[in-house]
Amino acid sequence: MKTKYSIKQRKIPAQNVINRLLVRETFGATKPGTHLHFARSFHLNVFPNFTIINVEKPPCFLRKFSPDGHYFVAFSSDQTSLEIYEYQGSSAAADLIHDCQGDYIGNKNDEWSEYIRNQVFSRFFKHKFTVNVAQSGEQLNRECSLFTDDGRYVIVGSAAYIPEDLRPHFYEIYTNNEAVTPNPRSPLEDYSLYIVDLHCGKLCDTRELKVDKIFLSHNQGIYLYGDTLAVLSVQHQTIHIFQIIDGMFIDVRKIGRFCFEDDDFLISNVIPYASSSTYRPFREEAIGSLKHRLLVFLYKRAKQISDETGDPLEMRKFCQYFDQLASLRIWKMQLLDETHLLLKYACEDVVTLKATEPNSQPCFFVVYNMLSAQVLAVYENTSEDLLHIFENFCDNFRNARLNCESKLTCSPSNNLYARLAQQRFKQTIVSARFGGHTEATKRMLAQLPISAQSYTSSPYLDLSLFSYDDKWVSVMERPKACGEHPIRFYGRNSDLLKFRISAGLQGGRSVPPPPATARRLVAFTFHPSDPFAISVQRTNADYIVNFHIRHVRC
Amino acid sequence: MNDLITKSVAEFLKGLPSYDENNFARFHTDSNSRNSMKRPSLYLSTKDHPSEQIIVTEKTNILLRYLHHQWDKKSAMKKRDHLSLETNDESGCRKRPRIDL
Repeated sequence: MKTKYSIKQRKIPAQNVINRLLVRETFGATKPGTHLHFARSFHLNVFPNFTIINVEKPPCFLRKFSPDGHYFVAFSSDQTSLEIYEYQGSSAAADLIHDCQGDYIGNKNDEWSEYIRNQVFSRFFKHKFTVNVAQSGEQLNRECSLFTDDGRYVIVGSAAYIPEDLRPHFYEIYTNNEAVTPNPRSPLEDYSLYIVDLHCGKLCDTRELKVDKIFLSHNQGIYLYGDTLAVLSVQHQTIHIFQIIDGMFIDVRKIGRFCFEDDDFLISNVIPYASSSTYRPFREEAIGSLKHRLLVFLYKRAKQISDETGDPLEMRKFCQYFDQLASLRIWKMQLLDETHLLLKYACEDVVTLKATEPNSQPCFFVVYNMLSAQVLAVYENTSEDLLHIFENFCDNFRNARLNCESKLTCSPSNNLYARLAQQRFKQTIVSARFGGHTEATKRMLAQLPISAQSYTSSPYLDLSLFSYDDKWVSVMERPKACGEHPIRFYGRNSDLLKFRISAGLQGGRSVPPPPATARRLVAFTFHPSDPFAISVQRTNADYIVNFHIRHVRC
Repeated sequence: MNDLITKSVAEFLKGLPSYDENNFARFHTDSNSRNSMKRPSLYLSTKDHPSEQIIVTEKTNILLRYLHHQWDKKSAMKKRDHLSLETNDESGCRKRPRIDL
């Protein structure tokens, strides 16, 4: 009997691909501006539903797909060369797994599994080039790579330890009065940046940054926006700006001691010996240009508040904390566009990795315009305003799909489900022991600045299409804890189980089980658009590679 | 009742071109193919009317527009305060009370 209050069963929309194609042919994208979302919805019918466990791969470290998905780059096992592979398409191994049943293969030691495991890598990836980039003593950082928007060039970085017998000169370490004191646990190194042409397989240009500290891992210290490359030298507190033109690094400017290129000339007019080789900027009494602009901004803000309220408290605070503000150092940075930088300032102990809990320390976020040398805004890491900006303009911090027509990925700014997950995370911190709103704000803002190209644009991780547990896999390409069970992906519009991804080793293992104490991590690399993903499981020193591919069962 | 409705409809349609079949005297269903191939005459404007609106895509992203907007608001406030202070100085005494820091 149906009553007024009876629950109506939600009608599941047609899941059949033929129906979808008919609807597309008849109506297209019914709402204007939604054609890209409409096109992405077809991924609900084509997905990586089959796992090949423990794939045999060449001796290299797998890294990433180019933004167009045509190429895949890896680092050689000695970390001196770049391996370039051409991706052969998601159906490259269709005939190989034609008769396979179930969700995975390769977990047993039978001949057929062995054959598939040995063959599958060469089916998907055709080796194109091996480009030798790093010189003797240098090692490429295997967590550092930046692709240009056209997918033609890749920028990689290497570091070389400075030998004990070739200790750098004091004034090579302290090049200006903002330079930090190196931490013996994180010694200074000689860095090189290389730009490699993926189409021709050749090294195009190199830039060396000697006696320095640059955080290359996860692209933390380097950022590419369009053709503008920013490199943060933590040791010398200088931001190097390059332009990438036809595979070449073109020097644009250095920001730190000076903000404009002709500042050096102006200084030498005032201090005649400033341009001589014996002059030591480390001994300068004057505050560096960038720091000066930050302090002036804070002074003006304090003065304005004091004038408005008629209360000198804010000015007193500025004077009280002046020394702490002056001792702040740049820790991280990112480009917001070709002319704006987001800088994260913290105390020297945090920057030099001496502090044990860096995210609990106070820090400042500065929005800086490089062309006008203007500080637009300064926020503390407890700022509700900055959190509001971050939550509402998330995609402009991530810059994940600059090469695409739609620059938006699945983020809290444009996706209801991602926003819900973020609010849930925030609420967990608020209600936790020793938590609260301030702590939640700190934790959220600890994500800023966001490293370049650290978010995937794969439709299979789009929360508006699929529902999955982001504890095991997420749009941010970082290693995650490895679960015992396959990750389940449900269709968002139907709540039906669409596919499973088996990241761990299932059933009868072809590899000995890891020790119980070992922390198992898994890193996912999704193709930008195809139903293809690679998971690399790391247990201590062992690497196990799984391929997650499309399989049409007969 | 029905008669009333039909009568009112007839009155409503009276005088409309579709009601009088003479209005379609020049319409020939058996027109030959050569005639139907003839292109209809077009009106071509000889005057150049500049478009009133030019739609331009904003190059700067929305985040930076927001930040610049905040900056401009602050700058405008500072200027306004500065001007009001200047006018006060001119009208009143030149010395301002000292605020102890």
